[in-house]
Amino acid sequence: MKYIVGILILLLTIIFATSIGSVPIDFDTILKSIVSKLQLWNFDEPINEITETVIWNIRLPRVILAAIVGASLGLSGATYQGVFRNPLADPYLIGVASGSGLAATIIFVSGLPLIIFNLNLLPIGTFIGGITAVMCAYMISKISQSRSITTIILAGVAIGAFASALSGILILKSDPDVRPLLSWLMGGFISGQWNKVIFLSPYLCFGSIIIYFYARSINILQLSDDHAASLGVNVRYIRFILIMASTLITASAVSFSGIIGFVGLASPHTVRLIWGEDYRKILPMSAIVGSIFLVVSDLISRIIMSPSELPVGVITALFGAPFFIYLLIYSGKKIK
Amino acid sequence: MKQFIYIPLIIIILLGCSTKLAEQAQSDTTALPQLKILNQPQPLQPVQLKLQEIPSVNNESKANGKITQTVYPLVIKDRNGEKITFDVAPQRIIAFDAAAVEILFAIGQGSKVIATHSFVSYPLEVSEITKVGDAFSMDIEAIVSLNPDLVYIFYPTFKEELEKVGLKVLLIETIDDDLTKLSDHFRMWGQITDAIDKSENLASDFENRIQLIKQELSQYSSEPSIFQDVGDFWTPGNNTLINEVFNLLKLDNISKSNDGYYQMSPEVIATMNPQYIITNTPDSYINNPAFKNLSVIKSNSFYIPNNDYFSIFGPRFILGIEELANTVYPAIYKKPR
Repeated sequence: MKYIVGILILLLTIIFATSIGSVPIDFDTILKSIVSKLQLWNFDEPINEITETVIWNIRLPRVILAAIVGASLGLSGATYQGVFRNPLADPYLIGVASGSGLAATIIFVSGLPLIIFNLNLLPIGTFIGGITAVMCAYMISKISQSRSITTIILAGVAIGAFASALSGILILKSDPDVRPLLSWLMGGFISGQWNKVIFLSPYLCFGSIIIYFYARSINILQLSDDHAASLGVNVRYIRFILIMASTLITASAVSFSGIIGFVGLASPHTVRLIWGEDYRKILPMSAIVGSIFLVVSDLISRIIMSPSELPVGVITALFGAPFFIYLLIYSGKKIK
Repeated sequence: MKQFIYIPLIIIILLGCSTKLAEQAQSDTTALPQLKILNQPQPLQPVQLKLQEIPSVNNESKANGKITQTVYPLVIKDRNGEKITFDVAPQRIIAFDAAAVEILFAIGQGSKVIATHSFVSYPLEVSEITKVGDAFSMDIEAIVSLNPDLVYIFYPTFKEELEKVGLKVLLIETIDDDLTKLSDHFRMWGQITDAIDKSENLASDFENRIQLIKQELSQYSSEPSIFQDVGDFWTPGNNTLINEVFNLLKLDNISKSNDGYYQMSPEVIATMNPQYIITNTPDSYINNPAFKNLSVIKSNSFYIPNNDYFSIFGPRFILGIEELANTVYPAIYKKPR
């Protein structure tokens, strides 16, 4: 039941976000545009072409991209929190952000053209960077043959710090027009297009199916490793699959949107405060809550200093944190 | 270890599927016809003007008669109001600024420059000069060991450190608001290095060429709209030096509603439909379905700027201004001189 309500709210939020922007468009123009696109009704006077372009080629792909990235971050944040049994876990815990950031820095600094052979270099490079960083962290924990979950976390932190340091050096040593790089690092949907939406969707679909398949096991993983194993859960195997799936989702999201913080951390906690600790509920609701959150944040980043655009990562923390604090206080006072 | 084979396999399959889907989506936005981008115009020859023909902008120097030698001790005020005293012309200058280096060479004082930072590349002689730092850091030890009598910087981060080791520091932050201050900046260097006549030539040349542009454009009342994209939709808004250039050239900057540099919303670009777009990457507009209605695409009005001219506020800045004027108003510049 709550999923249906959640998805409805998400759809309404998407429509709402599409109807607001730097260029004022009447709500009935938007409705007319949707209706005529869906071929439900032919209007006598066609809608202004530029307005159509703004709605269908600028705003809508961007809003949907924000929704997909929000879902990816929310879902992978929830998964990481479950797998690592750590409420402070966010999707960037084991190095995705630093790895992607380093790849992006290398690409921008090297001055390579961003489009080679019709391939967009930046998303590919940052994707590889993110995955590589996590693989390194995972390898380290494998080599150390440690049984503790904290080894991966610490390895990830170390790799992340190292990658960030390398990025820093590259930025310092390069020609100082770093604005495009910095705005990528802070995250944003300013160049949201349909081909990005289409490119990103398979990763989210695929990853979320895998993760949800093991939702019940995540519940059991909340006990200690030995307990879980004694209940029949193949701890190391499932942990590996879940980490890889969430990293896939996170790396693909980051490669199209930059590094947006707070969504992956706050969405699962918000869901937990309202709906409890069952991961079969937390996982899908984190995705939905993450989506709504990021669509709204992107909307605010677009209109707060119009026509200037603020980085989304700033907005998610600025507006998300007070709301989250309110939720913490409120749920503490609730008599359960 | 077997699991590690699955991962690359899955990723490859996913990449394959997504690329296919994306290709289909991309082919829907039908390829736009091959367009020729406006080529960079030939660099204009500096116009030799007889000073008497153009009304002098700066009346002060005429009123005082000919001043050709600096009177020392000379007191220069930096932008914060602090005073730096020069007892003699400095002979060993470390100029940590590309514009300052170009100015010094232009007024014949290039030999006095003993060091600079590693991103200075003009004029060609600078390849011989010692480099003591890069964009954000300075090698203080190297600077001290070179024994300069003046260190010029344009951002304040290292000022205290340099003064603590006993160096004379002149800090003048980059001019970002008023075009006319640039010629005074040339004159300042002439005063400091006792090269007043050369710097006066440089400054007057700049002012005269600006005045010439103003005269030529006085007959125009329309204001073509323009948008500059310095990368990822970052654009100079109101109160930037580039905006002043636009104002001089009677160009309506669509970004002028906000101050400073900021990221412009693509919706606004698509709706306001600027007649000219200055960018290094016209492809990002041509291949983007969001901008398919832009008139710049149909009329070939992309301008790829010479980055050096527009970002170094020195003697070559006027070339950037003239190139842009030449691009937007080709009718004027066809007149023979």
